[in-house]
Amino acid sequence: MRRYLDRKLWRDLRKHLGPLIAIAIVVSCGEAAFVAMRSMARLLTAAQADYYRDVRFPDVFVQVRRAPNAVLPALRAIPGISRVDARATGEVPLRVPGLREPATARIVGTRGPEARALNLVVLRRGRRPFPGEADAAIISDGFASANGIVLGDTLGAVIGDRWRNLRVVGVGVTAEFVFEIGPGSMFPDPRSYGVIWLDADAAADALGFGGAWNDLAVTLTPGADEAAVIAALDAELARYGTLGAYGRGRHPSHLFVTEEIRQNRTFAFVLPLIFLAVAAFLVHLVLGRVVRQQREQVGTLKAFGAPAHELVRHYALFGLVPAVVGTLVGGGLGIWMAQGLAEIYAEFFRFPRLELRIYPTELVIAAIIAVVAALVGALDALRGTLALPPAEAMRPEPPATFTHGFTDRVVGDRLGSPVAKMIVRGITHRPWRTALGAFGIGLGAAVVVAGTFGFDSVARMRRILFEVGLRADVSVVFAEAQGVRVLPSLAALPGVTRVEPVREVAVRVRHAHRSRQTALIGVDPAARLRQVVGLDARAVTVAPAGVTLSASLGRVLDARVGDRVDLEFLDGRERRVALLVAALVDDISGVGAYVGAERLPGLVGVGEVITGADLAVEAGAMDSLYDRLVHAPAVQAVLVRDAMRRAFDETVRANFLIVLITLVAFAGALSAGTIYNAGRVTLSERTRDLASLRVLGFTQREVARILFGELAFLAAVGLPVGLVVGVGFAAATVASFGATELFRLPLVIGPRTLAAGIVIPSVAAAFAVIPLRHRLERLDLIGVLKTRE
Amino acid sequence: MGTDAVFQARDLAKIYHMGEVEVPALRGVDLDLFAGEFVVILGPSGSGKSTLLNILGGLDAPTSGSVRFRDHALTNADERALTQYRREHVGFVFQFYNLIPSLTAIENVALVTSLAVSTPGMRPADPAATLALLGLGERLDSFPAQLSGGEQQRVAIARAVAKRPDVLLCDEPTGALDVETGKLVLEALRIANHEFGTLTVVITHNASVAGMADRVLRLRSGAIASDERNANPIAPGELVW
Repeated sequence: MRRYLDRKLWRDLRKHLGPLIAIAIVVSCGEAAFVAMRSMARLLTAAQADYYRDVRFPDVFVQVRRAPNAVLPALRAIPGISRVDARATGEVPLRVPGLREPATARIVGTRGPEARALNLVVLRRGRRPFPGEADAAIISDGFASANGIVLGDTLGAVIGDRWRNLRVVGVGVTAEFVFEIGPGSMFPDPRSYGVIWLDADAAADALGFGGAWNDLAVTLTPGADEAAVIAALDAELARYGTLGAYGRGRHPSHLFVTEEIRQNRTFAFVLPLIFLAVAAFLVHLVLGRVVRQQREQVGTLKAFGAPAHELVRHYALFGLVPAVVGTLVGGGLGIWMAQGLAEIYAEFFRFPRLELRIYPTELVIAAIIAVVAALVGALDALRGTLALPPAEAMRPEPPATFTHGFTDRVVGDRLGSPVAKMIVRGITHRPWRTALGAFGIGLGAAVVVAGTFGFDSVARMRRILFEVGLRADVSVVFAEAQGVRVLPSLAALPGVTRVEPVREVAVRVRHAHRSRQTALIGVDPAARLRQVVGLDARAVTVAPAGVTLSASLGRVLDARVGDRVDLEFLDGRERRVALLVAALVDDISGVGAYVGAERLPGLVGVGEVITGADLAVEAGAMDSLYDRLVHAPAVQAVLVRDAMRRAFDETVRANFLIVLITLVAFAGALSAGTIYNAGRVTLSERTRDLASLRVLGFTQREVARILFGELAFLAAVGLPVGLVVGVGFAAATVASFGATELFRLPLVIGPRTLAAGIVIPSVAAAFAVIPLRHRLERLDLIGVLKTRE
Repeated sequence: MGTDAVFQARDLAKIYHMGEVEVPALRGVDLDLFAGEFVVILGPSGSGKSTLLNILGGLDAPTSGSVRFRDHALTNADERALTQYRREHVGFVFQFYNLIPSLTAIENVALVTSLAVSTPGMRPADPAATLALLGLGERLDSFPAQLSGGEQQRVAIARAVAKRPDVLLCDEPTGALDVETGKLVLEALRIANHEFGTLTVVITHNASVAGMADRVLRLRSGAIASDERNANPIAPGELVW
């Protein structure tokens, strides 16, 4: 019996090839997404671990203003510390050939692998500086490629009061600077910010740190208590102006890479689940129709004594075949995508090596999920028919019974045209199926919105950052805080038409047992070149008394308006002040603390503290201004608004395009797969009606309108619902993005995104119904007249 | 033969290809049908009567020969023209009614009259009045599943005649019904024929139906075996079978 059932299965599969292919495509999208995202996350996690081992990535990091080498033995003695490496680092404006505005370089001391020091630089090209070779530099790979710097090029900078020309002898990467973000900047810009490694001793001398250091890398012994080590380091180093020790969990590069991987892993569940749920529904839909059509066959087989489990197996296989095909195709596609994406990410993170592997467990999990989804869909479709006694099953299914139900009294009866009534009653006759079908189509819209709202959010962010927040053409960051006398000298620079001081000091904010290191910013309400901006792109007013905190800083500290928080200045003086939280504001930086500019000197207690300046500059004078700034020893970094905006745009373009293409394809597959199968089943159920109408003189177009009217209704209901679901996904994405604390992403969903959410699935659906149109043209008019259904 | 013939078929032949076997369904049929006639075509299954009806109704094309409806040639007409022809001139009644299950009795009728309303030159009857004429005045808002077979068939007849077609083609209209119900349906056809003056063609294998016809054609093996006029048609109620 099984042999013949399998033959029948084979023929049934061939007969329903179209719907089965559609199901397989939906399954394979889900499987590909699952395998790709999960495998990629594992590939990258492994590559990250390899990288950390290779470069001896530290466990704890500390920056201080300046500490003598003599303090190091005391630090080594802290229980739990395995190794400490001290070095000098500093940021300077840099002249780069071919770049109009000055870049900012982070000068870092380094030693060769023979020193077994932490934070080893992995060379991509060239060599390391020889010990004592003062003018030889390794530059970071991202910076080199963004600026087209090659070995042998010369870069000029004032390092420690003196102009130096540095010869590029090597190009390298390290785990420490995967995410390179310059002072005063909010996002990475490889063109204007890079790392320059000099021989450790040469760097210390050049930066004026002979016998001293300002940057410490620490590794822990296995099982050490990181929090205890951090507390001990903070206590030892407080008088040297520590910014606070922190573990990998707060290291920007580690956080950045780890977050990216984590987000992919989250995504790896949501997206495939959507697809497989839709696939389950489609299996249910198609198989349900097949079983109803074969009701008499099922009855006959049962009458001949076929055991129920053989029939279950027979029809379950019908659902499993597309699931298995989809799993195989999707698994292969997923492995391929995982490796491609991992390579893109590894290049983006500048991981020195990436070992491509296949993770069979991910394939197995993916296959199990797909098979379960298909079985759920198949068995549910079988339930009703298999339960019928054979004699009843052998009789043809009674004609669909329509009555004047509730929806009909509300809608159906009021419609004038019988065709409209047919459509409405077809829809309301099986409300659950209609709802699920609409939802399946709508999920396409949800995927589009969730995948592309980032464009709107980023556009809002661009406006906040560069139009509302920062209006200065050029901003200068000083290496050390300056007094008011610096302002007239800046005003005297070529082309400068307005100077506004910037006041930002490093503080640790404490509330009860929670604390967070951040910048206390003095905000001048009269400033025209810079203002604090909320996520709604409006300027935020800073309260006249107390301290105003970013809402997310408030959450981190569990501080509410009216609470008292302690501010500790991290300049080595260990000065603390207590302030009341006057307001919480939703600004974009996420972790800022603000007071009025005029109150800042009083709080800091050392007179005026001007840490930078915003400049309005005449367009024609830029070049000579840059030239003066790059030679000014007090200047640590020069930020140019146009260059930052350009970098922002490039980052956005690079990051979004791949995501966009993938999601559009996925959304199309969801909507098209659902509408095609819904259409096939509806057409199959309506064949007799539609053919009868054709005989009665309805044209092909009029008959098509009835079929497609139902499908259009599904889309018309499903797509708006999908948009709402997509907005929910987007909100969840923004919330998970907030966890990084690098900056906040505003949740903005513009009309273009919503329009894309409607248009993309609709276009996909329109293509999907073309084969239905062909079927409609080949309706057998005579056949239906001679048969009962 | 007069020039007022509604249908003129000449040397009509139809051959079906079933795999490698050729099955002739019609072999050289010549036929003229006139306005207002009630024609019954009798024949055993396989005699070609359904094929003839399908060709007259614009649902099938002959292999050779020609059919004219008034001054339109049905042979060689394309799909679009045949749809137009069915829409404007033909009413169909089928053995299994072919009502739309999601539409009520009156809506099934209105479905077709709504087409006619939008076609110039057609003046359809009122659906409710048509149903009432056929004895279904009480069942206007019932869905097909709530109607008996005979009632469903009378709704189908109302649907066919309400647009006032030139010709009513009925394929075994009583084939699925018991005797008494069948008589009610035939009575409905007679009323439609009388009230609207529609050329009515009924094909059946039930020879008793011939008693109510103006004209009886017998088909055998794809050819017309006899063509008789019935001088005294009797009422359907008096038919015996």
